[in-house]
Amino acid sequence: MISLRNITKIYGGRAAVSNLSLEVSEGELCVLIGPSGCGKSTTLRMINRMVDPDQGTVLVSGSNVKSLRPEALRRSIGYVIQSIGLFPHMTVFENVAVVPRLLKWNTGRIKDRVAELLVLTGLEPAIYSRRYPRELSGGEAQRVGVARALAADPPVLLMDEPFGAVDPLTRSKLQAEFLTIQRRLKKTVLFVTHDVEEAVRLSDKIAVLRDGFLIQYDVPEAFITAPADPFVANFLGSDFSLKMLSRRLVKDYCASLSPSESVPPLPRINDKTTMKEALSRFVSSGSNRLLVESSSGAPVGQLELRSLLKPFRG
Amino acid sequence: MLKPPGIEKVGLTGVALGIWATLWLDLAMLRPNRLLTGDLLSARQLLGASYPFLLLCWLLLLGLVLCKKNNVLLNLSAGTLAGLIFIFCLRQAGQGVTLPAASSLPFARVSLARGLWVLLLSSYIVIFSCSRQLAARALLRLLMSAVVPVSLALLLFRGDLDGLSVVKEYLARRDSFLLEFNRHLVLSFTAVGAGVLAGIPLGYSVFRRLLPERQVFLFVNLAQTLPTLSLLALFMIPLTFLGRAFPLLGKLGIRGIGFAPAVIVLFLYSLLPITRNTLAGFRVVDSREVDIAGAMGMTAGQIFRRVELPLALPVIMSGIRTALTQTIGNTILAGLIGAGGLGSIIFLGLAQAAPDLILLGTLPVILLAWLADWLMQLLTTVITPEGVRHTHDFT
Ligand SMILES: Nc1ncnc2c1ncn2[C@@H]1O[C@H](COP(=O)(O)OP(=O)(O)OP(=O)(O)O)[C@@H](O)[C@H]1O
Ligand SMILES: [Mg+2]
Repeated sequence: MISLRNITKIYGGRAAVSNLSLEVSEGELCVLIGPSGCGKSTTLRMINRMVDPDQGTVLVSGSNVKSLRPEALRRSIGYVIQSIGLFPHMTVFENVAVVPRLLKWNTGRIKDRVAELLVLTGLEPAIYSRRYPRELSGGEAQRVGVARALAADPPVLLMDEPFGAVDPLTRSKLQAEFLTIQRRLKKTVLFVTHDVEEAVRLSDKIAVLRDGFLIQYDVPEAFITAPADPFVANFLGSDFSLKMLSRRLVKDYCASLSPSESVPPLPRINDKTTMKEALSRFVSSGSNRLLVESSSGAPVGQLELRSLLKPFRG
Repeated sequence: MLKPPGIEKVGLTGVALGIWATLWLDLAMLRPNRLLTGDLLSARQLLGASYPFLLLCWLLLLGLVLCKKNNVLLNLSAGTLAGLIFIFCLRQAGQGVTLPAASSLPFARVSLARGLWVLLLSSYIVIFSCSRQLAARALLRLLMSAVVPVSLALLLFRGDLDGLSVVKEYLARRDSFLLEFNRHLVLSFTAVGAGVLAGIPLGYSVFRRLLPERQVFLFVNLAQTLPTLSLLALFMIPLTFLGRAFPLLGKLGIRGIGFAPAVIVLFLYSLLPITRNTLAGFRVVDSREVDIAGAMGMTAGQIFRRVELPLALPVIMSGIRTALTQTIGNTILAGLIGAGGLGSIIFLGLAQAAPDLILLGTLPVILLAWLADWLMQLLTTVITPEGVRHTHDFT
């Protein structure tokens, strides 16, 4: 869906991006991560031609972006940035409607689409449509930013630290909501972040950059079993495997109770929580077994401390 | 507002001034004709039976000012009442020629005396203090500030003020007054129109770095730092030369004195506020918003029309507003170089030592400047996008 082939961008004699090649398949979410200044944003902006590479080619849906009119290309790619960049003189409705209007959709269709997107991103249209950006909290503004990027149903989304400017709790909530949306819409996403935890939680694949070079590009599990070099291991942190537990759900690791067995008196845990939270529960309860229950409270199985040790395969 | 509004000291000062003028100052002078001085009239003499009514109005206004704080309705009432008190006194002064004392004087007229000017000042202060509290309600504030000028126009139209010496002066030279009045308008608007046509592209070119900021502002500032008169003199020489050398140009008004040099100088003056505000207006637009507008697929033209211009326009408009009010005042000087305008009436009055003639030239200039300012404020309020209205102060 997106292919970067040997792209290089030079600023003032220094390469911001060096000979970088990357393939993102359709429906995949690829996270770009790396220290500040390593060229993440520059890479992203070469895809929608906000920056033109000095060397190499960028293909989106099989066509070389150089052969497309920049405006037409950009209207087919959603873009979200950390500072959100909502237009202060436009209402939430008008902000979300920008690209549909550029594409000259008719008013009825725009209205329906905006309402649909506000609902999708968790904003009640009746309340938020007519608000101005200054009347939104940071989290609400980020949701509008995401809704705006999705407005014309672009197949590709570029997100540059989209949840970087909100508190950890809101960020976690926005991530969960975004995951739900992404599972439904299956966009091809290139997602820039500083935050390893966020990368682990959202990504199908992670690309680690340093000084404009792509150091390693793989599924997250591979970074546990085979980090490319000490820099990668160091950057992801010594607790990377712990963070990886947040990709696993309790319900996939619990052993079912036999129907005859009586319910054992154990500490309980919801089957939709992550294994990372389960670990925390093991530690706090001191028990080596937990009773797994469904959201309705019905027991569905039990979780052994051992199950945390199931190896990650890259 | 940082601290909760207490009792308005400014407003109280205004009321105190007004009461002082009402009780102890003379409001008008009844004169037998254009040349002779006459008897001074206090408020009590001028108002007769309605004097207690005026005192009552003052008490009411005092009460309003004491408890208005930042209440919208009370501020609106206080400002309106202050304006109406002045208008009422002015009307009574205009009717002064119907007093029994004037019955034996066929050419009787009334001049405004110190007290009435103090009353004007007092109502202005009260209105000012009220409009500060209405900062968030731009339209209401504009409405309130229109009370005095609109009632004044009404009084003039009805002939209620025909007894005032300045109105008599107007009636005596209506034709030449209207001519100069028109002249004044044409001079001011031509200059500011040219200023807009040149200043906005100039400011935008500096913003886009097509022109060097330093040099452009050096040039634009130069006109401001020279006194108007010397600037006028500066242009007289080359324009005289041009007019002589090319008689056709001379016929078109390109001469050392008259229309051309006046408009050129006024134009140069209006250039600074317009250019400066255009540049500032585009600079306040957040570059990240412009960036993302591009990333969403807007063309350069669409970015300009949909993002940059709407956000910059309020600031540009306030530059035009400054230029317009300032130019209407400066145009007085055009009277000095034979370009006409209300200035020529003022200078005639100065030469003849005729205060009424000076007033006849000055008052319309003040009213015009006020009207231009008011209209531009209204326009700016209306065109400022709602989402960013809070970031602009229209005063
Ligand atoms: N327009 C530009 N002009 C000159 N240098 C630039 C420009 N844009 C980026 N750079 C340089 O290119 C390098 C990479 O910048 P980039 O913004 O891609 O980094 P980043 O990985 O997104 O960093 P961060 O995580 O801090 O956002 C930096 O050294 C930066 O200074
Ligand atoms: Mg960046």
